[in-house]
Amino acid sequence: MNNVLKFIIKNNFILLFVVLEVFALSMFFSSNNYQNTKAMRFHNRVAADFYKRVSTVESFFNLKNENNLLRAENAELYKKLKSSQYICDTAEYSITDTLYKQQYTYVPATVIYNSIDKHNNFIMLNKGKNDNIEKDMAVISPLGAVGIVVSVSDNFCLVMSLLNTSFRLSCKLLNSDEIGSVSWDGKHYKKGLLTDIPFHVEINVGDTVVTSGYSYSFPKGIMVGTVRDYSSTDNSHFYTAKIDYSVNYSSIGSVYIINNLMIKELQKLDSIKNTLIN
Amino acid sequence: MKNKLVTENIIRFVLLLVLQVLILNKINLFGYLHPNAYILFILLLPFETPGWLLLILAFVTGLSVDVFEGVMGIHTIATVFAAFIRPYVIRAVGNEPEYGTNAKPGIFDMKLSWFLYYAAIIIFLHQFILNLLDAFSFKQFFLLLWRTILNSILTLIFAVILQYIFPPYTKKK
Repeated sequence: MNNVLKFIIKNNFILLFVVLEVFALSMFFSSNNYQNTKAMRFHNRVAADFYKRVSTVESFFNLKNENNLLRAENAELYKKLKSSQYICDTAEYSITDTLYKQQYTYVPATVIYNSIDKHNNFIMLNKGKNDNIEKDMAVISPLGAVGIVVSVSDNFCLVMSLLNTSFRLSCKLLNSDEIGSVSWDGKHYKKGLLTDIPFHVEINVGDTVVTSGYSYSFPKGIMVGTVRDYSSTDNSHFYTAKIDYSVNYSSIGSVYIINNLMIKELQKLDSIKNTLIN
Repeated sequence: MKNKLVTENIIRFVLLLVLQVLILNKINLFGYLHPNAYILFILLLPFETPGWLLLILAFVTGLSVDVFEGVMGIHTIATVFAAFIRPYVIRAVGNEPEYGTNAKPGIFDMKLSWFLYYAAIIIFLHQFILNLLDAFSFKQFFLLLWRTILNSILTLIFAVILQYIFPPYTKKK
């Protein structure tokens, strides 16, 4: 016993180092899993509140830019109003009214924390469970797709942004309707990758990449980026294209969280599909 | 004297943390460069700081930065490691007899060249662990190394400039 005590006192520096590092490592591995709510809750309580205060100050510097974006978006929406369209046939409208059913609703939210310099970047928004936000909802900005909700607390939610090496988004080329997958290689916040485009498809530099609507979260046709240049690796039958993101992730302020009203239905069908495969 | 030293270090801790969270974490040169100047707090602790205190202060520092970064643990692991190697680095860089009582390993008590050697080693290893844990793979090792080197240089520049802007009031002479 005496020897053990002597050993501990003699090597206290190294032992304390080991103890602290093991503690920190366990913290790291448990919080790396973003569904882990314990670490998230702690982070929420301390940091989210703090960042909310900071972002109210910071948003003042961005007001002009944000305002212009919102005005442009408003103009786009005014164009789609019934009052700004010429009515050719009243019967047509009564048909479209019953043909279309609301599938997506939009909740406006504000970014309170954002990073772009890591391998796995996350965004925090000021909407949470109290605003009916749930996991797996899509997040877009007026300029295009931003990310997907991965964790929700009472008043805030954590969004995995497109700038995350584990993010995959089903997309398509706007002019050929060919499906591919957009991911990020962790290098530059303005450049992403579009993979799995078959060889026979004609790609042009400057082609628009939009969401395909094949994911349950994102509606069809949300802007993602434009093709900058493309190439193929030798032993695959697919193109890989480099794209420029349409959203400037270093300065996002106002975003919309998209609620898919029919997601339960889709997920139910999906689980049936899975049982059929197995 | 002792009290003054403690107060000075507490003020430095708070100022560096505020600087890091409010300003430096927002800096993104070329998309991925940002200085982690809070490590200056560990670098500038007095020579005679006992080992256990060094480690615990590093743990608290890392944890405080982590709370504001979202991913718990990364800064804690790196900062505790930096504190652990600090005594060995000081011994390796040398010139032991020159340390006066209450001397700090900064540019005012020591030579600038001494500080640069000492800080560069610790900052590089600190940055390397940060970047490694962030990427969590050796897949793009040279990108990782390149980021580490650029971030280290940037942090080192900040570490020197910050000492000139806020000179300590407990100087040796």
